[in-house]
Amino acid sequence: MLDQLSTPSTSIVQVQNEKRPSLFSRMIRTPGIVVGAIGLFLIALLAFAVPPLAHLDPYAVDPMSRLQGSSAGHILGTDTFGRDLLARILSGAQTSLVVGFLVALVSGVFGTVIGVVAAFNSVLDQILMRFCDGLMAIPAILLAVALAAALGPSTTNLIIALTVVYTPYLARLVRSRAIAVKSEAFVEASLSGGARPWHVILRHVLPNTMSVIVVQSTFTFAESVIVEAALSFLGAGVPAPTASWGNILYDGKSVVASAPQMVVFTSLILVITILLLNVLGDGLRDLVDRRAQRHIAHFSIFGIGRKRRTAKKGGAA
Amino acid sequence: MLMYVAKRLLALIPLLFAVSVVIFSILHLTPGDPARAMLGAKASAAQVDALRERLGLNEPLIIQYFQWVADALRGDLGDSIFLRKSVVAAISDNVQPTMQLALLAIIFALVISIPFGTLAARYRGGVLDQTVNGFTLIGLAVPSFVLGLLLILLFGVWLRVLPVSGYTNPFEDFGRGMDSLLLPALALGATISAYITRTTRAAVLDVLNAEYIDAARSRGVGERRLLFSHTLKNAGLPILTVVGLTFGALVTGAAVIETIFNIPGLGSLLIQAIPRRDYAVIQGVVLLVTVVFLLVNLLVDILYGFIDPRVRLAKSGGK
Repeated sequence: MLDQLSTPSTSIVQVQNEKRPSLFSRMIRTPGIVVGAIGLFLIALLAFAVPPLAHLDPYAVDPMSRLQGSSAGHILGTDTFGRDLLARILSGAQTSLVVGFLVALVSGVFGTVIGVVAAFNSVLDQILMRFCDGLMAIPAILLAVALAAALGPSTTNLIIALTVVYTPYLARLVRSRAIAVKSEAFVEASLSGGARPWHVILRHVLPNTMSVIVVQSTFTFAESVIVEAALSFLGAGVPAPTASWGNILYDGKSVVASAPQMVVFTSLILVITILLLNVLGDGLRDLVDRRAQRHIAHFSIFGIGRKRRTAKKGGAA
Repeated sequence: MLMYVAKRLLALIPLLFAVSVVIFSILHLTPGDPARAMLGAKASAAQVDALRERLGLNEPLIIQYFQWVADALRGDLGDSIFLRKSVVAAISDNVQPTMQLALLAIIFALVISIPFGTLAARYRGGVLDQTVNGFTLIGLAVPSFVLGLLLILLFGVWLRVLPVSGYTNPFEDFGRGMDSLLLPALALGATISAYITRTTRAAVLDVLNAEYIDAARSRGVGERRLLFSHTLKNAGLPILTVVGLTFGALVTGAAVIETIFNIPGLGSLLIQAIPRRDYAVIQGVVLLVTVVFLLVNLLVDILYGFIDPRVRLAKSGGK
């Protein structure tokens, strides 16, 4: 019974797929995805492979050679404590990539769980979504600052704070997408045929939501890198002596006249990383089904996540 | 129209309730005793007890929450034990530079983004459009504090034409005041202008494809008038919405920018409160900015309904 009913739904999806080229070939024909993925891979390679190979130590202090320009020993020069700037920037890249990736991953998982639960349980839906609204109404950096201040300065606490900030956006996205999928004819058929909610979630909702989660998580990654740098710059993020782009920029600010390389090179790699993540996210979004696209909220830094919800709620009220 | 405004106001109440719960919870998330965290390890047990008593931390959580909300509704956000004044006084002492900075930044952003966004849409696919798109792509990847540092390097260190630090109130000394606000406002406005340019371009493109534009053109309306009068007026609504939404980014961006340029605003107040664990100030600033942010967006929503009757009909009488 159950198999008979769910068979047509999957065959429809397959027919659609046969008309279009495979996902992989569509991806490699989207310039943004190719450029973004290769660029980020190179940055990750630089960050994780070069320091051990070139014996770069981001913590080796040399007070005799503070704030030097570029030389054979220090390709990008040295910082305020005489530490090698290249080693600091690459170590900062590790911090940024790990923080950004973990925040994107954890908020993706929590957001998916909360969103699916909200879509399938109307009582929890009210409670969870009101709480998400409260979190989303507070501008992202402000909420991150307050949370980081309350939890105390450490990299783990920063990741927790950023996860709390970005999970509601994912939860809202997954919820609205899950409700849309739930009302599709093939899912209603499956449900009326006696399929359990678990079956529907695993078989229909998650596969049809995965694409928007990936896109949204890419943007979360980009924003986490920005907010991590901003918070570390303000002294509310990654604590010294751990290297972070925000810390290096903070140290570089006071010596910007004598050692501009600290600000210039760090800004450069920070901007390139965010640019690559944005380009990758835009490319991935272009591949996503148009109907699903409207749920994606980019630039929650600007509070944009709220806009669509207000419009939608207004329309339904 | 009144019904519409009332409905929007009523919808704000559950949201404010959720916001207040979140902000209240933040303080109580602190691992360990907040009073101990504020006073540091050297404080005696008696001092910690006295502060706990003063902050009302010995009451049950639910009582503490309602006490805090009741005080906030009366306009009392508590006292900062470090600044030795009330949080409301601290905020009102620091709010002026932030508002000036935010206002100047949004003016910069609009002056850059409205013409470029409109022209990019008009000459879609052309050189100008591609240049504008390239700049917005980069603009969205440059955080305002990074741009601020680079501007300091360029204008303050290399060209030596503008001050890189400090603040003068433009109402007291207009020239010096504007000099002190120019770089921070530019840093803040540029990032936001990238976003508004994109919205403007998309909104103008939408309108340019509308049939009433074809109709106006066939009536003999000139191209320039068509673009800046007919099109831009109708594209104004989405642009207005985005301007309202960027308010949150403006104020939080200002918080970071202020610390770079040593401007004594709300951001500096907030950032100085973090290492001191001055929770009353942190809660107060976050609450105030969020409430103002929500009110600004409510105002935009109401303006939206005021300008475009379709919006208010769809939202209040549609069903």
